[in-house]
Amino acid sequence: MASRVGHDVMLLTATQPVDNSLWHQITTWFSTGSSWTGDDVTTGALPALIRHVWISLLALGIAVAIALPLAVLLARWRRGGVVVTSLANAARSIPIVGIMLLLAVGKVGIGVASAVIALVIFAIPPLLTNFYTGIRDVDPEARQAAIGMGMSRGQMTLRVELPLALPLIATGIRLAAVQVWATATIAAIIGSGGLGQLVTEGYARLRYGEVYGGVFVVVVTAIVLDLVLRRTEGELRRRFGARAAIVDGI
Amino acid sequence: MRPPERFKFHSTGDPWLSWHYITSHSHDILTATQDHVILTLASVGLGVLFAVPLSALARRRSWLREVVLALCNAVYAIPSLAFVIAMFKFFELSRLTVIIPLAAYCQVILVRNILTGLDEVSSEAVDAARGMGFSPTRIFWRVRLPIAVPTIVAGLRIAVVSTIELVVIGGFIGQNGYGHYIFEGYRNSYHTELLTYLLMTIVLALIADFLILMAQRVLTPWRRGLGTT
Amino acid sequence: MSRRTRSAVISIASLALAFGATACGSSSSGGDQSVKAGNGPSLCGGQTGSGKVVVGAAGFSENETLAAIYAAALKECGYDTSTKTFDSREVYYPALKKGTIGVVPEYAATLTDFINGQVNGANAPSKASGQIDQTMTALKGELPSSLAALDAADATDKNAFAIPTQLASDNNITTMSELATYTQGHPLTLAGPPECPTRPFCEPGLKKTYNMKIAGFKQTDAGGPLTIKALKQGTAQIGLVFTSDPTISAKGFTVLDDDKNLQASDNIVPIVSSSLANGAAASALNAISAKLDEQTLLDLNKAVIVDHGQPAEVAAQFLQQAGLTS
Repeated sequence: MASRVGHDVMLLTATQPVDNSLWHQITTWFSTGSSWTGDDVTTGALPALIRHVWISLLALGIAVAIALPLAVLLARWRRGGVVVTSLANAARSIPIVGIMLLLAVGKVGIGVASAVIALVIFAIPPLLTNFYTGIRDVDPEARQAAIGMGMSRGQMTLRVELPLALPLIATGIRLAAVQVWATATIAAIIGSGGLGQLVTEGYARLRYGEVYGGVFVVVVTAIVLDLVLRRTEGELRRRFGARAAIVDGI
Repeated sequence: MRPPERFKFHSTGDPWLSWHYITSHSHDILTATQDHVILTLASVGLGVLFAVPLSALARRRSWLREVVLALCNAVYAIPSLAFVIAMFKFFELSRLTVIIPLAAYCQVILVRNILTGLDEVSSEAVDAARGMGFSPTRIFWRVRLPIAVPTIVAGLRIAVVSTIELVVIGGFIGQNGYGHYIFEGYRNSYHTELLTYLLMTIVLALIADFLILMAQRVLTPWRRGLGTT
Repeated sequence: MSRRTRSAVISIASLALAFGATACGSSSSGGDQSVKAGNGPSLCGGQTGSGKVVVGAAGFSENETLAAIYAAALKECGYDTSTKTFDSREVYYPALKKGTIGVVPEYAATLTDFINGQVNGANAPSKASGQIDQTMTALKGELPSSLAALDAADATDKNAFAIPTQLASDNNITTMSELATYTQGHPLTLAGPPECPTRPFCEPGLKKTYNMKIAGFKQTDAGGPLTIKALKQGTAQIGLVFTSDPTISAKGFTVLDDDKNLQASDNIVPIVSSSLANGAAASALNAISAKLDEQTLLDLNKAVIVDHGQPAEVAAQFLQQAGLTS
């Protein structure tokens, strides 16, 4: 009877001695070609990665397109700071998975759209906080000078405020990008793919090689993304004045 | 053997929100709240337990600080869904499956804020205290810590609020709490259930945030009247 | 007005109470239930249970409803029950075997071949049969000593495969064999849960038993919203569904006749930890099985899937109308 208890991996035949340790499952996953390229049974890490990039970029792009003009407007308004802080605080208490599932059962329906909208809602607070701070803290003298040169408000925003706010704009984008990248894994719950699918698929089949392989790929790419964006940000800072104010979103 | 009668099931419909749903499910909501709170408290508690010695360690040497902060960044890069599923391998249905990942996130937030908070203390203040003959220990407890409290509490608020939000993911792997019902509502396309428990999560987060804020005002009376923190 | 205020007070009080609760575990729910157990000898066999029981469920409506029925009945018999839902059998089965889950509503044939596959490899010949008695004998032989199978219900829920009605009528497809012939020239994509490509009843069975040409596999869910969406969008043409799902034909899909009997008799059967194999729990679960026929299962599914009844609500109504609770 004892020999009947045990192996959870179904494709193995009983005649082979089975090494079912976690380490073995992980190394097998890494050394199997279909883990990366995928086949009709397994989701491959590379196609999943491409989809993950796609979902994250879409969400981040839309979020920036909303947050940037909003930050410009709020920075012109005396009570803008209160709005930004309360928005950021309120957003933190919203469970992002719940929002995505809510959209999925509602009008938006199951699919990429629900995942992307949820990620946009998630990305706006760190973007808005940093954009707003960056624009608000632009030296009043620079503004005065621009107006003195006869610039219109719009011109001043484009040529003075935004370039001077660039370091903090970059900080906001970096924080949001890394958070969106990690959080985009939840898209797999509503069948929208991405790297999260390796994790949920591995879980559904109880194949931990795939689960841990998926975790590894997401974490390594997130760290690389963070490093690359940090470097870009440092470069921008060097060019546009070394202001060290960092408003961390987390 | 066979039931002679046909069954007639009636349903209360599926509005987005219904007061009747809340009153008729108050027992479920209460139990879920209890589970959600227990998971949150355990995660934050464990997070604090790790954050304090880790911050102390980071303050010893600058290279240790680098190591601790790099580790924190790495932990924060692990998506919550992936983290809990990875832990399912070891802890299965135990609450630890969610508590460990959430405690790790809490600890990251707390370490960052403790370090930032303690750094904020101006060297003038420390010098003044030293000039008054304070010992290093006394300086820490009487000068550094009180000045750092607002930043640390701000970190605690973020930790608690985001933990309450993240406990929801536990519903995906069979944990209790609001997430159980949010996922159940999703699978059955049951709007009332999903939205009710989603709102409960937000309400719980807001209440917790408010309570910590109140506790801070009571515990640090010297800051009252200094405006917002 | 006063009712509203009172409810609001109760809600706030309950929140406050929950905040105060620091101790782990929740055991207060059993108290008044054990008193009730006395009036339900038909349900609990005149016995009273005690202790915690976790009722496990797979993540689809029908199974969650059945789990809710089990949980409500066990609570009635004095157990402190909670339900937990899982992605797949792969996930909950180890916990069931270990005893962290006390009972799961299972499907006799699928479970038999699942365990058979785990023990003897995925290519082992199926031990399930079209006859429920034979399947149950096979199942009892397969189950580890830590588990027991109670009485199977008459109600069955077979896996089935559905294709868009348009495709079916255009090509005169009514059976799986006809679909297999069609796929020789037009390979189709299959939609099903993540575990489908490794399950003998799913993708491997289609290829082996019907020699079907599958162009690809689209990972969705077990006959749930993701599968329906994939079929509607056309990202897949064949979807795994359940015969007990009342909504398939209404949504524009045709369930194909399983003419080579790939799907064996999947009667619903409670699988319990051996500690629950006798006594109040077994009596209650067997009483439920006795009341659960095909039509009742369809009605239950309709109540949850079509009319959006909550599983727990529908479960309570079922137990009451079946005469199992008062």
